[in-house]
Amino acid sequence: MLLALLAACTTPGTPLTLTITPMAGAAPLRCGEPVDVAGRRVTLRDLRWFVHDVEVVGADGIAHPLDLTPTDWQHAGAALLDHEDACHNGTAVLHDTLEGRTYAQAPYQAVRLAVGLPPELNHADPLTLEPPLTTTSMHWGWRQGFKYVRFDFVQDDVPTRVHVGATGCEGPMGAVSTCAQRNLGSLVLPLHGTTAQLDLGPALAATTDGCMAGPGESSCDPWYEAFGVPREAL
Amino acid sequence: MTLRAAIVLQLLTACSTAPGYTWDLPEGMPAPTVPVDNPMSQAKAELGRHLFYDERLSVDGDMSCASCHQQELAFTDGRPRGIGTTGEIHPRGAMSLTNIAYVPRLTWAHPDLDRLEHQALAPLFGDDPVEMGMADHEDELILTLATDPDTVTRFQAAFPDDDSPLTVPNIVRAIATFERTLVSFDSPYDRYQAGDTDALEPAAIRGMELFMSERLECFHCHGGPTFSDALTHDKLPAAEVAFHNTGLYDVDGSGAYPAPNTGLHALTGRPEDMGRFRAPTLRNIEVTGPYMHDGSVETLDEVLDHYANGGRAGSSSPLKSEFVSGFVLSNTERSDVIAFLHSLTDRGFLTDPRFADPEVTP
Repeated sequence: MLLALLAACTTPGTPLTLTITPMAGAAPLRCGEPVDVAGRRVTLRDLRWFVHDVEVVGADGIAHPLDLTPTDWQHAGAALLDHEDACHNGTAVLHDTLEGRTYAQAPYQAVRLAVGLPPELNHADPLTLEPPLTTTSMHWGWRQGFKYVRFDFVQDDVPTRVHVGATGCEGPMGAVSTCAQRNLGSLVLPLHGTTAQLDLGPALAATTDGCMAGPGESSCDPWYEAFGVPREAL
Repeated sequence: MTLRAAIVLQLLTACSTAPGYTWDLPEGMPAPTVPVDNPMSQAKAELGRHLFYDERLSVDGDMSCASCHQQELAFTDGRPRGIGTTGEIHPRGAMSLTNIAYVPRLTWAHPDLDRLEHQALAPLFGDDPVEMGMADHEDELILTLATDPDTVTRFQAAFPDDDSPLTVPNIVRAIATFERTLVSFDSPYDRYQAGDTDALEPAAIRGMELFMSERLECFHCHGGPTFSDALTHDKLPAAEVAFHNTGLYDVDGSGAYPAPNTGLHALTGRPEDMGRFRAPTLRNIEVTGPYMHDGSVETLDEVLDHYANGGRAGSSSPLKSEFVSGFVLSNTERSDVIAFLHSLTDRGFLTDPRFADPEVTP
């Protein structure tokens, strides 16, 4: 009995690697490759985002945790997805997978993601961070945390930035108490095999504005919808 | 000597040398508060000075901290607003680093940014605006510094307990340590306060009395040893944190400041925080123009116009500090106040070789 329990603890489920592909409607969004959206040429420059609390919905319709394996891209249950390869600025390595183990049974139906970082990671003292939280371009020091989502792109010739993270936070880095806008997202993405798509097409079609997740920034609404961020009362 | 006496002596010696850094402060001036996880040391300050002047810390290799924080200008740059390594213009001006260790909340308006180690990450790695542009370049920065034996030696001396001391956190720890050494308390005003009655001209003494008067109200926000009401040091039970709206702008009749420079409001989103900025130190103010967060006031004379008018935007702003109610100054009084402000210039600080570019002054 005890042995069986121990065995269960040391081999939690089956290994599973999921791939997340960003799309603009039917067209894959790839770094530096223009796509047409609502008559505009949209070129991805940077798309990186943090996720945590990853769950996989198995064949039986039940969601099981995807226990993320600690790597340079995954730490303490959170992961950085990186869909840029320095086509503009950034890091040369593309990393669009989540690696872990799960009890969910194939064929998998969907992946559930919390978009962003849990507060204890988001507001950790930047002098004591582990990878991937050491990624400087995702740090949002003056907001006492991280950009949960960094989506930089060019529309025709206009550079546009969508940076979503917690704002209106109170307390110094390492000891933040509250944030007026938590801006954590929640997504359920259907799985085809082990691949899911993040479709940014509707948001790109709905607005030409960027977003800095500031208080009362109405241009953020389509982006909040894209990443499953609830509108919070100010 | 008994064994016990020897041990006590050894302990005493250990204690007296443990801090590794001696502050150069006038009598009675409390030492700055230093974070417990980044104690002062001469070696760390010296590494920090080298890094502060090191252009390898910018993505184009043409900019160091000192590009915007020049010693002869009390660590400002003479520009209305900062310009980053890629040419991007910062919404606000580079602030003086005079006595920066005594500042409880850093930058022009941040409710919680309380450590220089954390602040230094913003110019290095921030991308909105780009200042030194090092976001995503941290690995190559470390590799570049690691090929320089002198730099490696300085990191080892500064962080003797670290197996691999060359890290981004240690870079900002060292820069913060150097910044904390930038103390300035040796102006003619300080010498006058210390008993040298010849240190100030009569005009400056008259100006000081005006400055300290209820008529002008300057000292409410620009008071205390640093001439700023935002103050922290190791003899205070808690840091004094303060932000003020001085009526510099009122673009909508309700006190609004033009975006993105809305002060504390830009971070908190609270309507009442509109236009609230930290009162900067007035020490070395003679050399830190142009003035205000956006450099929109050219001279000290125009600064006095702003306050004499009860705020440049006029008297209507409902958010304006109660201390900015306006006053009338005669021409003589005006030049007296300016003579006093000039008496806060610490020439020694502006030329101190300990704060200078190590390439020029090793």
